[in-house]
Amino acid sequence: MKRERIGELEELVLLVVVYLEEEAYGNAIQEALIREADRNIKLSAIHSTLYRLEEKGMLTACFGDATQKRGGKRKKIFSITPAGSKALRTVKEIRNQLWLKIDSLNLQL
Amino acid sequence: MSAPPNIAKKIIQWSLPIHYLEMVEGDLEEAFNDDLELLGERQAKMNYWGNALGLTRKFAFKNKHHHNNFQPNPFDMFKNYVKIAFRTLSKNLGYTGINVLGLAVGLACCFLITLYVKYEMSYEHFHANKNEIYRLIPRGSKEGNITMQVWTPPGLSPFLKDQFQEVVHSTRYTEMSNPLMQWNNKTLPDKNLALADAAFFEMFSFDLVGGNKSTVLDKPNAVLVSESIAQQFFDGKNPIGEVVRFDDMIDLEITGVFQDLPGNTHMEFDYIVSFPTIAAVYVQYGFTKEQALNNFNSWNYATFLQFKPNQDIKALEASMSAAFTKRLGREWKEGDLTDWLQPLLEIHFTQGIRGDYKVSKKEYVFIFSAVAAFILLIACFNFMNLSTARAMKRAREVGMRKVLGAVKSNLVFQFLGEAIVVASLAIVTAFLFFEMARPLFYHILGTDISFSYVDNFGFVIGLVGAGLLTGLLAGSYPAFYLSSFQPVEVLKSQTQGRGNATFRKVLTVLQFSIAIFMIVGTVSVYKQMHFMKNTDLGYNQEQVFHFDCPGPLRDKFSFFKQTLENHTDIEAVTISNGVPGNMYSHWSYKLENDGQKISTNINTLIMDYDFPKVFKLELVDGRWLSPDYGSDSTQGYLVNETAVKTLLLSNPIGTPIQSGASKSMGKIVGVVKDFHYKPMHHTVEPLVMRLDMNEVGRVAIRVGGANTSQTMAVIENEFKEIAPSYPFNFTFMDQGFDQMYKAESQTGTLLSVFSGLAIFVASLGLLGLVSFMAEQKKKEIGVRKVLGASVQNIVMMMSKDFMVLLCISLLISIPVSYFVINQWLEQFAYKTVIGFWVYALSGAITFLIAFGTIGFQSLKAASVNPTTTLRGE
Repeated sequence: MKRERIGELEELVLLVVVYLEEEAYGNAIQEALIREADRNIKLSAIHSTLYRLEEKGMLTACFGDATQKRGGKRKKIFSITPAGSKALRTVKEIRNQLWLKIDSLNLQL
Repeated sequence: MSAPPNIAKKIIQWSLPIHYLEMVEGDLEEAFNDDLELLGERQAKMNYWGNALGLTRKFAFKNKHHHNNFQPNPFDMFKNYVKIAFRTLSKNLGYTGINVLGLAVGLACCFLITLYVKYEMSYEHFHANKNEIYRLIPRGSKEGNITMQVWTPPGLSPFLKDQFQEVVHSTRYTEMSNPLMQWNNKTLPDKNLALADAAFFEMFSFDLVGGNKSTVLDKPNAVLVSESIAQQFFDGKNPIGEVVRFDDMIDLEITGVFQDLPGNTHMEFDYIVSFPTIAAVYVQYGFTKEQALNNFNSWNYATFLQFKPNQDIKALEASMSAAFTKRLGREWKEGDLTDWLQPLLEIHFTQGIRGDYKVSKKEYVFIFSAVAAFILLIACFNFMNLSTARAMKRAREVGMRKVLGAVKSNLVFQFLGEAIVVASLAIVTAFLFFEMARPLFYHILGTDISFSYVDNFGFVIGLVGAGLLTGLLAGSYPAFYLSSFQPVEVLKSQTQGRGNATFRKVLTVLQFSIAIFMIVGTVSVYKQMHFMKNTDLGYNQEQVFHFDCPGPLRDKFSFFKQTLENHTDIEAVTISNGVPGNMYSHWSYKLENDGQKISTNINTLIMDYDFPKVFKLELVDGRWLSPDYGSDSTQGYLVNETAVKTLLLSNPIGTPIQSGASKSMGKIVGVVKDFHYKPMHHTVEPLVMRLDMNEVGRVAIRVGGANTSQTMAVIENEFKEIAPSYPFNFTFMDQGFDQMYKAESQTGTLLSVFSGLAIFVASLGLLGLVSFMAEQKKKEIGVRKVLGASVQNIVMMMSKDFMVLLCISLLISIPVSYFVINQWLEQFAYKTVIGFWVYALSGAITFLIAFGTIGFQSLKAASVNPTTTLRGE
C-alpha cells in the first residue's frame, strides 16, 4: 500500500475524531475544531475532509441515531482505522524529531 | 418553523455521491437548526447555502457513479463483452464461419463494384474546365427517331468562335487509328493519332511534360507525342524538335510531350497533330487550303466549345443551331429540332451518338450496384437469421446479466459489439477476396483500373466504414431482439423456444427471391447472347477477316487481289467501305417508282464486285453486279429486301436510281436477301449497294483450307511487299462479332459469377438454419425413429418447411424478373423469347442447391442413432 500523507486539516480532523470517540460526527467535529483549535471552519470543508480521509482508508464510519433536529437523517459516526493511527503517529514522530533537533542546537525561535 | 432552502438542498442531492448524502444532509440540517436559534433565519440560510455550494464545488469533479459500489466499471464490462464475444464466436465456429464468409463475400463484391462505379463516374472529371466544355452534336429527325452524330464540318468551329462571344475556346477534334509514324526510318507504334486545334491543351487538362500549352499546336505540321512513346522510342533523346514522318508523306515537328492519357476519358491518342496540318493532305487532291480547313461539306470532325461560365445553354443551343443551319444554306424555323450542346461530363454515358465508341451504359452501373447490394443484403439476412435463431441459446446469459443488474442498453451494446467483431473479421477477409478477385474482375470488364491503397486511403477508410456500418445494421435487429428477453421468462422455462420464426421465414424468402431473380437474369442474358450468335445473320462470317487498306495498297489493289486469288486457299478478296457490324454510311438517292420521284437517305455499302462472294450473301431477285456488264461500275445498284418493302417498289428490278454524288442515272439490277449489317440492337434498315473504288478502304478476305495460319502468312507477305512500312492489323469477323456484343457478354459473365455468389451466400444461411434446426430437433428425431419413422420421413419433415419457403420465393421472383428482363430486352431489335423453361430452369437450379444443402444436413441428423440422443432422458 502506498504511503498516504495527510495535510494539517486532515491531521486535526483525525485527532478530533479520536478525541470525540462515540460522538465523532460532522457537526460535533466542527464544533470541537472551533472550540479547541480556534479555527473558523465551514461544515462543507469538514465534510470534504472526512470524505477524503475515508477514501484514503484512515477513517471508517457507521450510522448513528437520527433526530428530529436532523430532519430524520442518521448521524454518521466516524472512527479511526489503524492506517489513520499510523499516519497520525508518523506526523507526530516527524515533528518530535524536528523539535528535538532544534532544542539540542539551542536555536532561538 | 423554517426549513433549509429547497434549492440548495436539491443542489446537494445532485452533486453528492449517494452514500454520502444522508450524512451531509443530516449534518447540514442540524447546523441549520443550531444557527436558526443563535443567528436567526437569514444567517442560517446563508450558511446553509455557503456549505451547499462549498460541497458542490469540492465534489464537482468526482463522478458520483464511480464511487457507487453497485455500478460496474464500464471498462471492465467492455473487456468482459469482448471476452464473451470471442468465446461465443469460437465455441460456434460453424456459425461464425458462415457469418464471416457470407459478409466477406458480400463486402468484397461491394468493394469491387464500388471501385468500378467510382471509376465509371470519374470520366472527364479531371478536366479543370469540365463544366464549361460542350460538344456540338448535330441532330436530325428521321421517321420520328432522332439521330445524333459526332461529326461536324471543319468550318463550324471557327464559325461559332467568330459569331458567338460566349465561346472562349473552340477546337475541332478527330482520332485516326493505326497511323504510320516514322522517325529515323524506324516505325513508331501505331497508336491512335488525334487532330486538334491550338486551344486544345488550354481547354482540356492533359498535362504537358514538355512544351507550352498555348503554343504547341498553333502551327501546321506540329505534333506532340505521349510520354511513354517519348521515353521508349527516341533512343533516350529529348524528342522535342525531332521530325517524324506521317504516312510516308508529311514531315511533322515534335513541339511537345504530354503525359499519357488516363483511362477515364473518351479520348484516346498517343500522338496529337495540329489541325491545319490536314490542309497539306487535301491540297494534294486539288482543294485549296481554305476549302480544306473551313468547308461545310465534309462532316468528319467533332466540335468542342468552351463557354464563359454560367451561360444559358438552352438559349445558346437554339441560337447556334439557327446560325449553323443558315450557314449551311438551309431554312431555319422557330421550334425546329436544335442541335445538342452535349456537356463534356455526359459523353461517357450517352448512348446512340454515331461516331462515339468508348461509351458506357449507365444502366450497367446501376445493375452492378444493385447486384452488389443484393449480395450484401443476403449476407446481412444470414447474420440476422442465425443470430435470432440461436437466440435461445443465449437467453440464459441475457437473463443472468439482467438479474445481475444489466439494463437493456448494456445488452444492446454488448450484442452490437459482437456484430462489430464479426464485421471486422469479415472486412479483413473481404479485403483478401478483393485482392484476389480484382485482376479477374477488371479483366472481365476490360478496363484497367489502377488502384493503390496509398492513393485511395480515403476510399479504403470509406470501405472499412461501410463494412462496420453493415455489421451494425445487421447486428441491430438481433441486438434489440436478444436484449428484450424477460429474465423471469427465460430463466424459468426449461423449454427452448424457437425465437421469432416468422421474421426469419420472411428473410429467407427474400434471400431466395433475390437469388432466383439473379439466376433468371443470368439465364436470360445468356439466352439472348446465344440467340444473337446463332440467328441467321444473312451472311457468313466464318473464315473471314478484314483490315484497313493503307494508301500504297489501295493504289495497287487489283494487283494485290489478283495475286491472292491465285492462291488455292484464298476463296475471295474484296474491298468496301465497311464490313457487317461496322457500316455507317448514309448517302442521298433519287428514285423513280411508278413515275413518282422519291428523294431519300439510305444506308450504303460501297464495294467491289466480290463483296457478296466473300460474305456469301444471297440474291432473291435479279442478278449480281458483274464486270461483264460494263455499265455496272457507275450505273448498277443492288438493294436489300427491306429497301424494296420500305420504298414500296412494286417492280424493283430496273427501277431508276441516282446517287446524289454521281451524275448519271442508274438502275437497280438485283435484290439482296436482308442481312444484319448492323448489330442486333438495330432492325435491318434499307440498304443500297454500289461500286465505287474511290470510297472504299477496308479489305475483307475469305480464306479456305485447313491451315489458316499459313495462308495468313502468305497474305501478310503480299501486304508487306506492297506497303512495307504499314502494320498488318487484321480482325477476324467472329472476333469482331464478339466485340460487338461485348457489353452483353460482360454482363452475362459477371451476372453469372455474382448470381453464383448470391446463391452460395443464401445457401450458407440455409445451411446454418437447417443445422441449427437439426440440433434443436435432435430429441424429436430420436423419438420419431424409435417409434418407427424412416430416414426419408425425417428428411421430408425437415425439408418441408424450407421447400414451402422456396416455393413462395419462386412465386415472388417470377413476376419481378419477368418485368425486369423484358425491360432489358427492349434495347434489342431482335430478342429471344424468355419462355417458361427459363423460370423452370432457374427454379430447378435453386431447388437443387437448396435441397442439397438441406438434404445433407437433415440426412446427417436423421441417421444418428436414437440411443445417443435419448440417452440422457
